[in-house]
Parts: sequence; structure tokens; C-alpha cells
Amino acid sequence: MGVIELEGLRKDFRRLRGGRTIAVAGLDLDVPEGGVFGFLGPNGAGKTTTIRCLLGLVRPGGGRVHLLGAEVPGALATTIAKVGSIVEQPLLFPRLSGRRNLEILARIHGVGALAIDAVVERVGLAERQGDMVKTYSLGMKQRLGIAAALLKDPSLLILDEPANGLDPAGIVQVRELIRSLGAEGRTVFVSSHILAEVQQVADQVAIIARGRLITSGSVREVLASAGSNAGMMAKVPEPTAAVLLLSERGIRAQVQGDAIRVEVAPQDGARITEILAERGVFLSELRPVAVDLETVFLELTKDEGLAP
Amino acid sequence: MGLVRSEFLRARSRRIVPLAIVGSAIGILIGVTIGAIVSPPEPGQGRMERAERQYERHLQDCLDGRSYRLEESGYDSYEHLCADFVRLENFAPEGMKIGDLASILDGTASLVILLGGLLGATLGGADWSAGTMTTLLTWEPRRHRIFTARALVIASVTLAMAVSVQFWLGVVFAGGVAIKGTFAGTADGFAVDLLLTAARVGAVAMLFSLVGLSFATIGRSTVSGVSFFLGYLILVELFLANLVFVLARFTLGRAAGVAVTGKVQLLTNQNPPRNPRPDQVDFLLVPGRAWVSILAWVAALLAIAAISFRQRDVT
Repeated sequence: MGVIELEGLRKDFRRLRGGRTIAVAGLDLDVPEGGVFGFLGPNGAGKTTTIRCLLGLVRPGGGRVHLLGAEVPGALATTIAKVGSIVEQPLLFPRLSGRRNLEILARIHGVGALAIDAVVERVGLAERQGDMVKTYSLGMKQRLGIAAALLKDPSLLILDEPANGLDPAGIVQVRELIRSLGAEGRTVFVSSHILAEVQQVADQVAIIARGRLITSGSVREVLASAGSNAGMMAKVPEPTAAVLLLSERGIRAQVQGDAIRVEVAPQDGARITEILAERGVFLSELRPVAVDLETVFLELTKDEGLAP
Repeated sequence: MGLVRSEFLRARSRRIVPLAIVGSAIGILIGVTIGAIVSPPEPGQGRMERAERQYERHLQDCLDGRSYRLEESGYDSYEHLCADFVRLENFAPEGMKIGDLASILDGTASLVILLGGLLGATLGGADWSAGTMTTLLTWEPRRHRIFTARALVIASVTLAMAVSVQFWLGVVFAGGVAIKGTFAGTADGFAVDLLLTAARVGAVAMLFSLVGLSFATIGRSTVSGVSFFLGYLILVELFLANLVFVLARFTLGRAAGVAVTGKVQLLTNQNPPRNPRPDQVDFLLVPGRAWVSILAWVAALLAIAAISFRQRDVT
């Protein structure tokens, strides 16, 4: 059983001027226990609405939601103590100190001062915990939000766009934190619209667009599924001539810089060398085109008009 | 219990609470000091004795039915009627007298009650305005629990504030009387009267804080809460209730006035029609009915706020 299970989740919102906006359109998702799970999609794909449904903040219009085995929203209270979360951005009282904000939350579940000490230390806020939150940088607020989410010592962390608005150093810090949390055996469910960012920390991913699941699986599987269509890059002395030679044999190719991109699967790479060698053109390099999750996303959505 | 403790810490951490208490304390100190400066010197023993004789004569007239008509008063006996309307402090000479303290508490009640309402709206709306309601709900998803704990804490904090402010007013006023006034001339049961007045003011302020909380919860912000609260007072209490007389029977402000003083109030229709319906004639608002009105308002608003909080998405 997955720690997060969604079956046909639907949610739509009434528009001010009539009509309805479909935010989530029958989403199915199964998040396994442990590790980092990337929940990816462009802005407006329905990621935050899905997370709000998961946490009982909004009422689903249809479908079923289970969090750590408990049905949401009915039985959410039985599992919420094991779930730490940030939705969109960590929202805390700006005129209170970071520590006071944590104390207010900690009292709800009877979490003690030692746990607060531990989490502020872990996120690197020990020295600034007594300062008002309004004096914090965006990165510090984000880390305070993560500290708040960690206070319950959760087995499941739901982090919505945790790197949003952070500078490069902040992104690296958050990335390292997420990686270490996942390595501890917790399940870290990270949503992001920056697909390349999550690719670096996630073990599993799901990509959604317009409220629907596009693909899911381990990062390797997802990349491989699109990698087969991404083609090969070949370095040749005369790229234009090589493109012509390949097209004569029905293989599509195009010049990219001092190389050519050939639309064949990596397992068919031998055909390129064979065709070109027959005409006396010899390759100096042949490699599969490197794909990332962005490429996968664009590839998978180009025919459906789902890409942003 | 953890939620209540968290709510107490949240309320204690808000600047509005110490600001309200310190502001009130300084205001009282300044007000009493000015009062002491401008009041005439301590009245002599002879004047106090004369006042007491005058009071006893008027009280007897009242008890004999020569001052008021019991059947029009809304009271059940002359003893109760006269105890409320013929008071020793009304005959005492000018100056600072400890016997005036209950009247002063009555007079300042509207400020304490208004403060209670604003405190409720501010504490009730803080999470919505700061956006922290989302964070809170990820710790406690049972919204009825949050609302109940919050109502409990806001009511307690407001009651404590109202009692503290009145206690401070009593202490400062007594200090002023000690310097320039008299402790003589208090009616029988003065202390009980004083305590009952303070308790009534505290209770009404507490109930008004729940009205503020309800408005803030329905409007989902401090600004909405305060605006609804003040808007109601201005639009309904001051405008509509004077325009449509029947509304005056059910308004919160008039009911609060009667509940605080514990005295019957005659609501007069300023513009009666030639052939008035029963709801258009002058009306006696008795304390019991005033309390029922306030409680009904508070219960209705809390119910609407709780349903709204429970049903609406938090986005």
C-alpha cells in the first residue's frame, strides 16, 4: 500500500464570472513508501490543488484520497501527526520570532523544546531563531517552514515547491536537506514546476499536466521511456553532407552545431555508422541524446496540447 | 488540550493584547488624574449627612409609589425598582466619591465592550490575514476543534482583560479618592453592587469578543471582522434601529446597555404612526430579555461562523 493513494481525484473551482475551472481531472497516483517522490508539472497543472486535497484543505469534487492508509478527509486526523507539510510557501506570523512560531505549532501535538532545538539546528536557523520572521530572507523562511514540517518527526513530508524563490545557494541547501530526509527512510513528496531541479533528488516521479497524470515511475524508467525517442548525436567532419546521406536512406537527421542529431533509437546506432562508413564518412563520436525530465515532459505532451 | 495551550500562546504572543491592556491602563491613569485635578475638594461631613437624608426621603417616596408607577416600570416590586433608580450617589455633593465607582464602571462599560469586540475580531482574524490558517490546519485538520478552542481562548482572554481593566480602574480611582475625595457615603451593598457591575461588564465584553470572532471567521480576515463589527454598530444600531423601531428590541448594543446596568430601559419610538401596531409602541427592555437577546445573537453568529469555517475550502 502506498503512503499516498489517489484514485480518480477531481477538483474544480467556480469562476467569479460563471463557469468552472477544472484543476484536477481524475488523477490517479500511488506514492511508495520511502525516498523522494517528485510530483512535477508546469504552473497551473494542479499540483497545489492536489496537495490541498491530500491535506484536507479543500474538498475533492470526486475520487478517493488515502494518506498513510487513512481516508481523507474523514480519517485525516488519525494520521496528520505523522505528516509534515508546506503548502505553496511556509506561512507563519511575521511579527513573531521563528522560535515562537514553532512553539505555537509544537504545543498542538505536545512537542517539547528539545525537538524545536533539534529542528532549528538541522535547518541552520539556530542563531536566528529568536528574530522576527519578517526579518528573515526567503530562504530562511523556507527553512523555517521545513523546520515546522519536521517538528512532528513525520514519516511523510509533503513539500510544495520548496525551492520557489530561492537563490542558487538556497536551492542547493534545500536540495541537500530533501536528499538527507529521503535517505533517512522518510517519504518526501516534493512538488515542483522546475523538473530539472527535482530530477537531481527524486527516486520516483510523476508528471502531471492540466490535472491529469502524464507518466510516473522511477526517474530512470521515465527518462528511458523518452530517451528511446530522443535520438543520437553524431560528430562527423561534414555534417551537412552526412545529413543528406542519411536522408537518402530514409533516416531523419539535422545539423546541430558541429554535429548532427539523428532520429534513431540508441539500439539502432549501428545503422548510422554503417550507412556513413559505406560512403567514406567516419564518425568521431556517437552518443545517445541526453534527456532530462523537461525533455520528457515536452515529448509526452506535444501531441496532446498539454505543454505550457 | 494541546490546541487550547497553543491558542493561548498564540493570543499571548499577539501585540494587540498587551497593547489593549497597557493602553487602557495609561488611559485610566490619565483620566482619573484629570478628574482628580478638576474635581472640587473633599465634601465636608455636614454635606454628606444632608445628602444621606435627602436620599432616604426620596427612597421612601419611591417605595410608597409616589415617584414611579410600578406597572409601567417593568419591575416586579417597588423594592427592586427603587434600588435601581434612587441611589445615594445621585444626592451626594460634587467631587470624587468612592460611591460613584459602580456608575463609573457602567459609564466606561461601552469602551470595555467595544475593546472586547475588537479583540475577538483581531485574534480571530489573525490567522486568516497572515495566511497561517493553512499551516494550522496541517497540524489539526478538525476544524470544529480549532474553532471551539479559539472561541474558548478568546473569551477567556477578553474576560481576563475586562476584569483587569476594571480592577485597575477601581484601584486608580480609589487612589484619586484617597488624595482628593471621600470614602464616606456609600450605600448598603456597595461592594456587592460593584462586583456585580464588573462581572456584568466582563461577561458582555466576553460575549462581544465572540461576536468579533464570528465576524472575522465569516469574513476570513481581521479587517473584515473589525469592519463587520463596526459596520453593524453604525448601520444597524445607530441607523436602521432608529428607522425601523421593531429592530431596536433585538439589537445587540441596546441589549448590552441593559445587561450591563441590570436596569430596565424604556425604548421609545421617536416616530410612532397614528395607529401603531403592537411592535411599534414603546417597549420596556428588561435585563432578562437583554441577556437572552445577546446570547441568541452570539449563538447564531457562532453557528454561522462554525459552519462557514467547516464547509469552505481553504485556498
